[in-house]
Amino acid sequence: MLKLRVASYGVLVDIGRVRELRYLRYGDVVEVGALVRHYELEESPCGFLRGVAVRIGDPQVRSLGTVGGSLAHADPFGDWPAAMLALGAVVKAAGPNGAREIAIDDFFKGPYQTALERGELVAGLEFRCPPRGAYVKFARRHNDFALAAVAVAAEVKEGHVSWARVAALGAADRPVRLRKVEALLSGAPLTADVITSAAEAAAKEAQPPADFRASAEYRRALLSVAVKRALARL
Amino acid sequence: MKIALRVNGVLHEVDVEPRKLLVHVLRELGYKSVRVGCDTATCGACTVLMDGRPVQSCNVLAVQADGAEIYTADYSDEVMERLRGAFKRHHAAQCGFCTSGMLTTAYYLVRRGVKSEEEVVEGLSGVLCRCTGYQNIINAVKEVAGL
Repeated sequence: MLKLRVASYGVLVDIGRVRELRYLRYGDVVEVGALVRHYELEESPCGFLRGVAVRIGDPQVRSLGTVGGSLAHADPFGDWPAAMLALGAVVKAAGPNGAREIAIDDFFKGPYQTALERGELVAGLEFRCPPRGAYVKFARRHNDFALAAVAVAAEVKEGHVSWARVAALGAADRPVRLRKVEALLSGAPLTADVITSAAEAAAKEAQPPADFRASAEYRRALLSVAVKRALARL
Repeated sequence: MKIALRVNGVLHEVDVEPRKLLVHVLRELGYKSVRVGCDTATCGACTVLMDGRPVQSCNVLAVQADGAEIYTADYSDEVMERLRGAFKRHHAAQCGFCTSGMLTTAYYLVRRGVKSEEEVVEGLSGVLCRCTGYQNIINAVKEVAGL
């Protein structure tokens, strides 16, 4: 943002060396410190995280970018925001009034806008690694922002979806859950017919923005295909 | 602020303004192979290895690199020499402007054991070649990676 002269600040505080924000713990709950860099999740034991990390930018971006930074920045086409929404993560925030937890469903307030208050920062995230998950992203080229992307976290038992959280980029002015798609999947068998219906439901539910990268209609079509491919990968 | 950088094995202790970018400090230290391309963190020509990871040095404040081990395209070891040879043989440089960024990124890819052409292509996607001479660069990296 500084580089592009979009923002300028009188004082800049580098939190890059705050060790307390750089932890990564895999237990029943996965705990990711805000300063964990994208590349550190490329070989994560949690398959869903691996699938997201390798689709972020390019190696240079993954060397510097952090998970917490991605969340706090809340780019409408950020990969981690979609992933964390699908995971149902809890955002651990810290500020002058102490620490608090923010449910990811309440975190994104608009493009580049979050529930963080003045002086607060993202300290880390907590979530469970989903039994099944997939991340499908369409971009013009390898290291570009997504045109549209779909993140799915789910549990499938005996061919039936016990639960699914489906998050999308390019379906609104911020990352959003596709709740109609989730409802359709809940309890349903993961058959070709169900997947086709889910893809159609995604196209109906999405309200894609149009910009220089893609038209709303193109994004709608991509979202439909992304849902189909993500479900086929579960 | 006083910072210490080890560049290609040589220790430099320099006094830098906090606003200064790593790319400019490296060039002022004489490492002119580090290119200022787009200056907007898009083209990757300024890529150097910082503690083993490729970073765009125009996207790092020099003070953030305090204590870091930096490799530029001038770095020399067996892998880098093989890459240089392969770049020559495959005619992997046209105008040559992106070559520093391509070499440092390629070095990282070979060192980490890149496994397929697809991984080479994705791995190099952060460096733009405006001559569009990508295929020769990809071929050179593949040769050194034994693909």
